[in-house]
Amino acid sequence: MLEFLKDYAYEMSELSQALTVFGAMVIAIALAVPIPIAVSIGTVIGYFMLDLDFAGIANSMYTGVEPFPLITVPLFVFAGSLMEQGGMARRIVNMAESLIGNVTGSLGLVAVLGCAFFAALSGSGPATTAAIGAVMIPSMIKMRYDPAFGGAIAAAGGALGSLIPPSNLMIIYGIVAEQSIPRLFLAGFIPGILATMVLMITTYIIAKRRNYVGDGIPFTWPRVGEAFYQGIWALIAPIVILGGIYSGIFTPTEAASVAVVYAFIIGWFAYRELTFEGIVHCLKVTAMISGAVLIILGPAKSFGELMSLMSVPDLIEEGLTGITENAFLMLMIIAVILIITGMFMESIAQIILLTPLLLPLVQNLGVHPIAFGIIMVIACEVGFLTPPVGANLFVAARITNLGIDRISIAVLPFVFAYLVILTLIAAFPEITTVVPNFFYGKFG
Amino acid sequence: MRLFALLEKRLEEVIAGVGVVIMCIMVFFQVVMRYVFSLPTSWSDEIAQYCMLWSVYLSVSWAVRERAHIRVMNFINLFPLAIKNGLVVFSDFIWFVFGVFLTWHSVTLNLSYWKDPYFSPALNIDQKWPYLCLVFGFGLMTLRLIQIYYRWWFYGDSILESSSKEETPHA
Repeated sequence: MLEFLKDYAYEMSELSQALTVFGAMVIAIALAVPIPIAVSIGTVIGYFMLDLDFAGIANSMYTGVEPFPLITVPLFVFAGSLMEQGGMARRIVNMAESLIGNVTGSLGLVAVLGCAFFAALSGSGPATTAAIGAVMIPSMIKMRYDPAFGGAIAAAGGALGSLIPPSNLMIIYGIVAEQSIPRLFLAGFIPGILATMVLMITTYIIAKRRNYVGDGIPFTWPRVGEAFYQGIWALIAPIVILGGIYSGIFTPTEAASVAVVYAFIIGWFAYRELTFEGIVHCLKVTAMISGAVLIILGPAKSFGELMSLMSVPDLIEEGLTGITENAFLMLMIIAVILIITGMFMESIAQIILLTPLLLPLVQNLGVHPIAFGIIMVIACEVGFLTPPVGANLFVAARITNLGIDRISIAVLPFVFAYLVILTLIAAFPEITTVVPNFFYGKFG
Repeated sequence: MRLFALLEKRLEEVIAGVGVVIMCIMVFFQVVMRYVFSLPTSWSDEIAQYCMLWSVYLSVSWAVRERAHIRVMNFINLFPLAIKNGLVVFSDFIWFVFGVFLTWHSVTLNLSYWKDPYFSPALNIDQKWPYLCLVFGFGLMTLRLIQIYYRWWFYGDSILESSSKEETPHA
């Protein structure tokens, strides 16, 4: 029976072999098999068709998790979690409030600004939503904001966590695409600031139309001074983390460990808000991400190898260049693909699985890999904000106690804001490479 | 028996958590050695890598216990409850079969390292020990799946939700 199947598979064209692998994977995902297992199922079928040794799959499970820079991801998750538990998020919000507290829709604007700032400490979108949302959503509800609007701002602002450096998604992209991680971090700088501005404008327009007012406390320099004095340790953190990376003092991985130690010292000794139970909770959050999210690395490694053996990247390139050879249009098509797959997949899984399939194609059209990385990250951020599998929406829904459906409607204007940024960067990819080229000189 | 109950409850999370802590200490230690003592080390990287692997694979099993694995439920949610539950059992069965498959191949891979030892460059560690994380990870994952159905059959626990719900994980 198996021999017969194997002979049959051998006769199949490359295209139908690839389609069988994808079909098996999609069916497994639809049947609620966890995504890493579904990817292994597709891979096993592919290995069977190509008559490869299954031991290779077990081996990739190990080598996929082995690369040293991957350690950065759990370390940044741990650091972000410690900063949240240790009281940094609240002080960041206080600083933002002292600056723009008196403007129309100030709480919404403070939430976006707070997210942008926390994003410079943490590498994760949902963690940023959780940290700033937990502080801002209750106060927005107290000021009679629509809770769904509050949740939407926290979710949309939280997505900045992956765009403003450091960023876990960029680390993963850097490893898969073999690009320099510090360069990617720098490339996220201008898009991050642009996105923050667009989100703030969107918030302002909505707040104005709904007559949300500010906190009524007039802007005074002593208030700003007091808030910044309280928040000084949170302000120093990005200088230590990012400054350390760019001055060449340490690698991104080492920076992540410095961030953990820094967050621990500040939370434990300076703010005294960190407890032993709090640290254990942070460790559990980190382990949960390792077990449920990072596990995709192993199956994805053998899946990627299988894809190149089946020359799937070539097939995709043939198919898509048949539609258009224009770089901008191609990037927009890819963005649509990423947004659709992002509705069903966790962002890290998406980047690991799709980068090797799409990168060669856009590189041949003259798109810089760094710029493509930023476009992928933004498209994945839209995935954070679209149901059914939108991580930020889940976090915001939990904080607001609303259904995910209400928040996913309230978040639509912000999704539109991200689409504007995405289109802008696809049209002018140079936006992303200006800063890294300035720091490190032109490269590649 | 109390020891077993404790292991059942805490084994994976303790190893995974300690792994993260050691990983962090090792990487930070390297920075300190280089700048404070001007003595760069290479072995700390290797230990950090082993901790990462063990922590990830033990968390896989723990995430089964907490039912934290990310699954797309939207398609099967379209069906009436009875069919939906049937589909969950079916997908768990596929998962279980793959768990056995992956455990089996991890064991064979590990045995090959017993037969032809391979040593790491920096620390000269026999690679069969770090590779053992696959056997433990997938083995425990499969056992945890059996446990869920055991508890469902004998105690009527839910097969979809954990008794101690942790946050849904996302990076």
